[in-house]
Amino acid sequence: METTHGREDSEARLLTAAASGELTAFESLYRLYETRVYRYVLTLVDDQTTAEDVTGETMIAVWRGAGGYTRRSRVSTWIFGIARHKALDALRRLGRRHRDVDLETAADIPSPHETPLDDVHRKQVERAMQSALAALSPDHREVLRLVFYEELPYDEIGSLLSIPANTVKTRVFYAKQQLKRHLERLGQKEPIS
Amino acid sequence: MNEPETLPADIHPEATLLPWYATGTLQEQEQRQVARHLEICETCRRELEELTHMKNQLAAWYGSQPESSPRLAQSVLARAADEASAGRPTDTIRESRLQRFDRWIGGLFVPRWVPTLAVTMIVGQLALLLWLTAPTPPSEEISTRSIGSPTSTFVVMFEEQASESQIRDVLRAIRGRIVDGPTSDDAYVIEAAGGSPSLAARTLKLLRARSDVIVKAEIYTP
Repeated sequence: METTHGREDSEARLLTAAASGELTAFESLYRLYETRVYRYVLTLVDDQTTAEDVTGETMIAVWRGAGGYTRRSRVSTWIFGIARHKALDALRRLGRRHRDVDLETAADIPSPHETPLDDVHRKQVERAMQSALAALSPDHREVLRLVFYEELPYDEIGSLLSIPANTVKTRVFYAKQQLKRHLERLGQKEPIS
Repeated sequence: MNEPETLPADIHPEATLLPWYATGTLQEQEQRQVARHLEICETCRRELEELTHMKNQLAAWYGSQPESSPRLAQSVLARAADEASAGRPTDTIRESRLQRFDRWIGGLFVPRWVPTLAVTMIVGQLALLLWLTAPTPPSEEISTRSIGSPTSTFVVMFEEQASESQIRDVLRAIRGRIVDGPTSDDAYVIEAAGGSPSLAARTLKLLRARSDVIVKAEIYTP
C-alpha cells in the first residue's frame, strides 16, 4: 500500500511533469482527481451540470498552472483550493449562495452480494445519512467531507478554507455533534455493519 | 452556521485531534500524544469509536455519490492536448522568474533545522547589538587603578590652566595615579610605579619637565 508521503511525492512528480508540458502526466493526474474534484464541487454547488463545468475548469487550470505549484501544501489541497475558488465563483455568477443541498443525487445501486434485507438496511442508512447531512450547514458538511472522506490534515484544511487550524478543530467538533444529533433523531443509531 | 468559536471547557485538548487520529493524518508527535491520552481516558476512547464509525458512514456515503460523465474527461483531455500541440504560452509552461524565486525561497524553509537556525541568528544578532550599544566605561575620567608595587610618592601642584587631558598624559607617562588632594595649597599626592631611588628621581625629572602642566613637583616625605 502506498503511504501518504509516497502518494504525495508521486502526485507532485506528475504535476511537475505536467508543468513541463507532458500530457500523459496530466492525464494520470486527471484520472486520480476527476471524481474527487467532481464530488467535492457537487457538495458545494448542488447541481450536476455546474459541478461538471467547474470540474472541467478546475482541471484545465491545473494543467495551465501546474508550474505555479510550490509544494507548500499537498497536491490535493492545491487542487481542491482551485476547485473551491471556481465553485464559489460559479455560485456567484449564478446568483446562488453556498447553500443546503438536496442530496437526492446519491447512487442507489445495490451491491450484487447484498440480500434483500441488506439492501433495505443499506437504503435506510443512506437515507438517514442523506437527511442528516442535508440538515447540516454547508460549512459543517464541507469540513466533515474534507476530514473524513478526503482525509486532509487540519492544517491543510485551514489553508484550503482560509481559516486558522484551531477554527478547523472547533468546526469539526461541532459539525460532528450536529451530525450525530441528526442521525440519532432519525433513528440511525446502530453502526453500519 | 451558529456555533461557538471555542470548545466547551471540559473537552480534553487531545479530543480535538481525534478526527485526524481516526484518519491517521496527525503529525507523529501528536499521534503519540493522543495515543498516550487514549490509554488513560475512557471518554476519549468512546469518542474515537464514534468518530471511526462516523468516518466509515461518511466514506460510504460520499463514495456512493455520482461520478462525472465520460464526456467531461474527453473534453478536458482534448483541450489539454490541443494546447500542448499548439504550444502553450511560455508563462504557463515555464515558471515566471517571480515563481522561480518564490519556489527557491520556499525551498529554504523546507528543512526542519531552518527555524532553529533562524532563532539562533536572531539571538546572536541581538546579543551583538546589545554589546555594541552597551555603555562603555568612560575613558576620559581619572579613575583609581592599581599600579603595582613598589611605588614612589610625589607632591605635585598643577598649572591652573592645565586641562584634564594634559594631567592624564602626565600620569600615563609616569604610570602614576592621584591618591590624595587637593590640599589647602592645591597640591596633589601622586603615586607612581617604581620604588627605587633611581626610578623615583627619574619620575621626578619627568614631572618637572612638564612645566606646561606642573608648577611644582617634589618627592613626598610623610
